[in-house]
Amino acid sequence: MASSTSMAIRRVTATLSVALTTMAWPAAQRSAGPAPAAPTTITATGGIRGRVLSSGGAPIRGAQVRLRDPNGRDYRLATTDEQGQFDVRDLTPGEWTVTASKAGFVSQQAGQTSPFEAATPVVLANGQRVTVDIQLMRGAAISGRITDEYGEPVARAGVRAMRARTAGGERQLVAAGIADQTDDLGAFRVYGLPPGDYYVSAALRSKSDAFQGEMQTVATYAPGTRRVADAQLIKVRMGEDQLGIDITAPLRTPGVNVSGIVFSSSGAPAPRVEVHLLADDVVVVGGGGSKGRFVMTDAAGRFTVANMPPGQYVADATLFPTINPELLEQRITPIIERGATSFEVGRSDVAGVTITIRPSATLAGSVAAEPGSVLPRQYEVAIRAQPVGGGANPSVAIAVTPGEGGKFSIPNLAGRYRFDITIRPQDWMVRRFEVDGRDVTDAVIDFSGGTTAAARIVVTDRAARLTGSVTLNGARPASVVIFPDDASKWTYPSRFVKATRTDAEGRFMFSGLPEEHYRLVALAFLEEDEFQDPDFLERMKDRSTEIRLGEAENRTVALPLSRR
Amino acid sequence: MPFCVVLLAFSLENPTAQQPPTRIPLAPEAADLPAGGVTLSGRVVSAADGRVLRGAEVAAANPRVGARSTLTDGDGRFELPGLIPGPWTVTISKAGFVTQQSGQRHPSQPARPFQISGDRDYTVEFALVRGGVVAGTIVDQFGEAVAGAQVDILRSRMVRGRRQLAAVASSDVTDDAGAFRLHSLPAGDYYITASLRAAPSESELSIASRQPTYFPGTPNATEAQRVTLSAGEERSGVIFPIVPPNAVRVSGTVVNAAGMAVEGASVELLNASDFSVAARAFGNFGQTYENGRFTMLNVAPGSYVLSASVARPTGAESAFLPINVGVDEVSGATLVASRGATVTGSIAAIPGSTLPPLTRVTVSARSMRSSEVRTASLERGTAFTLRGLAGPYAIGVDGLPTGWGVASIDLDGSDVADGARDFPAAGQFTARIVLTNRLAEVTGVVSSNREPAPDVDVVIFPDDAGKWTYPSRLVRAAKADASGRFRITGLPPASRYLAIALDYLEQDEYQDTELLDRVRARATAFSVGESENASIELTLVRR
Repeated sequence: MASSTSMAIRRVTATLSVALTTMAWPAAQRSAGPAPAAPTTITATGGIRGRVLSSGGAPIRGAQVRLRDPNGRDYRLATTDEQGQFDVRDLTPGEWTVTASKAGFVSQQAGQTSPFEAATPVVLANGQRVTVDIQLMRGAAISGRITDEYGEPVARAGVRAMRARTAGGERQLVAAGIADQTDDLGAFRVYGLPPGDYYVSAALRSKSDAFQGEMQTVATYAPGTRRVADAQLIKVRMGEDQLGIDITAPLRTPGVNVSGIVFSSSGAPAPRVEVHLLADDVVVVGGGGSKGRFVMTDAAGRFTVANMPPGQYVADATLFPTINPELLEQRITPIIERGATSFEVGRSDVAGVTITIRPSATLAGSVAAEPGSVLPRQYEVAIRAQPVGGGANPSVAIAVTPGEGGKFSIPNLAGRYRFDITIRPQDWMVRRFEVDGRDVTDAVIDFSGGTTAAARIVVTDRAARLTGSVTLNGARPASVVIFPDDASKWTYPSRFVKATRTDAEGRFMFSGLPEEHYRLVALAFLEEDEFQDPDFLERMKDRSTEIRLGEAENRTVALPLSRR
Repeated sequence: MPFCVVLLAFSLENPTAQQPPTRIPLAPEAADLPAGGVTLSGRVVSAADGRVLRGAEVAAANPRVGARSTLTDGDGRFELPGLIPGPWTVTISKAGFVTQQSGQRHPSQPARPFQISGDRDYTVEFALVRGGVVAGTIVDQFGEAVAGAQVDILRSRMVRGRRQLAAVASSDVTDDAGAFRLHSLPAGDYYITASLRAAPSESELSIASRQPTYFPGTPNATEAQRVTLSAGEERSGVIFPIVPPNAVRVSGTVVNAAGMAVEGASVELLNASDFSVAARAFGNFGQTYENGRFTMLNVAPGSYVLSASVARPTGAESAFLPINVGVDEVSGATLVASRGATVTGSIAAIPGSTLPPLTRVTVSARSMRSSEVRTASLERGTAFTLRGLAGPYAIGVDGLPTGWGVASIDLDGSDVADGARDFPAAGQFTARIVLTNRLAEVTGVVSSNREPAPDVDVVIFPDDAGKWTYPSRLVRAAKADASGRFRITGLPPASRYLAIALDYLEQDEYQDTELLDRVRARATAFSVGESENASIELTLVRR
């Protein structure tokens, strides 16, 4: 149970990190959407009409077309007629997302080339009538039955198809297609799937786990495992029906008690430490995995969590200082101590989970120009420290400007972090990132040891720039990815891997590139964060164009549009 | 229905008790709790053939400590140890069977907790009834499968004296073959709806309405076809077309009597047939904006009443406007909010009696359209003023001393002691409430096969169907106790009442005139005069 004091402390730290983020990350956000439109005067309502077609171009009748104003102020639902046409009027000007769906097809939004691509809304001006066509591809389905250890059907379990991807350097699972719930025969059918490789996960809706004696629900993957690593990967082709994907697992189990102790770095038991117990598995986007638990250590530094379901866990312990409003007022960041350990929960109680917390590190340093370069009068270095594996640690973002003499300080670092450092103006680049004299550019940095670390960010204007054009042949703007030939540099983040979108004429530009042997590929679309996935880059290698860029070189290339 | 075999243990006051094992309290302060608590154990079987049910979930919930749950093992056995003494609501569920809760004779009845005393363990056997299934396909106007349609199954329930369709727990969403399967349903009468939603998620759904299509393919609830399921029946092949969505918006303004915009008025669209809520104003928490405007999205064609209400320090204001929604957008609906009607009156005793102290007495007006209740406390001993009435209300008196009841409520010449009355906006009414201490009562015992019938439902109603109003002092229900005895007090005297004892009643079902009409032939007649006590014997009638 969280005491009110600890909740207050947690709230304050959350506010602090938010404050830091908003102070520090103004123009440097990489994937910022369009700025919210200023309130416009509505003089006339508009309309959106169009057709829903199969990938072969045949009209799809009876398709559902849903229109949504992204602010959630209005929703519309229409169905297509015999000719696959829809026509929705009386729409207020602004942005609208338009989604078409039909049994047997993959639902898709207007403006999407692939169901996995981030969609752009339809922009409607005052009184405007916009025409959009949406093409749907045949959807695949996966069906099967869930039975318990007695062969009895498991009803009312939520079943999802999940696909794996790598984003931000972390492997994650994302739901795809339309989820289902098992019926009284234990049968399920998830459908509307684009071709691809999927895992099937099933979970009963978890009841409140605050109570001691409730059965715990556990997310289970076909054919009956709780670990993604052991799950069956199911390949579906376009429009294919994969039958007989059965799961044998009761999906609920009694929980056990987990207890342990937290020691401070001096070896004494540490009271009033927040302990988060989190499932140590692939992150499932949008939740659905095992839920985390949270406890406070008692006066003897001990903690107990009742009714934990089986699985692999990480226990993350954080000691927050006593709250001091004066320090907050002066924006002096409280110093915290952190520690973590991993453990496994089986069928019997787990005792003696031991965590040692240590003071967190503060990374202090400065931005310097490489010999031969002179820092411009105006610059901004954006630093984002992202904890590896997520967990309870927040990510920290700050910006360094000439105002502070190029100096910065990032407190509260505990554990392993990835650093994403970018510099503006755009022709500049980060040459090197040093921590305690060691070159850690594009590397993961571990702060578990010391309490302070000295950083140096060396920047230069000796970056290369690449401009080019893609032959679109009337197609919509394409995506271009640049990545090094050397796969060991496909890290996240990486100064060498970048993606951009062409303009309507197919023109694009990359700036701030270090000298390197690169590869370039232009594609009709990119899935969200796809360019961060090494598997994707590997697939793109054979259809890419090689290009060697020297220091401060300016080059122009022409690229064909490659197939995906 | 075989539901009466079910929950044998719970229908008795004292379940089979084992000899309590000797326990030594751990600490003096825990003396009232046996160490380790009480164990509830037993077996779950199928009511039809006594076959044990494996993997059935047994959950017990207590208001103080929350819920415990377990699954039956390979022999259908379960054990819930560590329960504290007190009320525990036990729920047994298993795929394909009707979920059962403690204290239920019929699944439509509310659960009653099972009292666990702290000095012994309990063993019970639960017999589950096979659930019925309704399975089928939802198609579009072209006869092609509709995916993602939500299919709900509804039962009719009594709400403020009217039948209203309400969804039961089971629902499904059609797959890419348009297929749905609703399962684990108790025997009974059902209606089936399919609907497509405009909003992407349930949370947004709650503020934007859906248009249901009723089986066999009509947007009109009155044309819906009833599906009767017997116990464990599987009804497959229920195929019906969903009516294409018709995204009609209803918008308008709420103004006051002076024509000024009213901000913050809650606006609802009520179904004209039963006043159930069909839609709420979209955005701004369902209230009008600064300019008095409101909008409702995705309204289905039909007859409605637009209702607006706003609380003011000077008293509530409300407005009603009947509207018909067709295929075209409804804009510019203007609701004029007013203070509503006022009823002033006083309370008197019947001739020959003296009024008792009325310190806790309030006069109330209960809306027939919503759960709204307006109350007035007494001024100067017997006077009252009810304000802000708009629409149909039932006038009543609450908090009367024992032995006293309403003899009549005269409202400008007509008696409104039973039933409701419509109050037009801004009307002024005078009421005179007469109280009596000469009401009658009826007591009796229910038997079945010459044995007392415990826990059954008894309904008393007048023979004259013209008096089956809602609400009514003459239409009453009571539950027999463990020895089959019942007592109903405060009855107006009448020469011909009817009484019937039924094995179960759904919530407020005695208010259903159809039910009264169905059972009147099997009811027992009796009469009761002023201050009399009628004593009757009833034989249990199984439904």
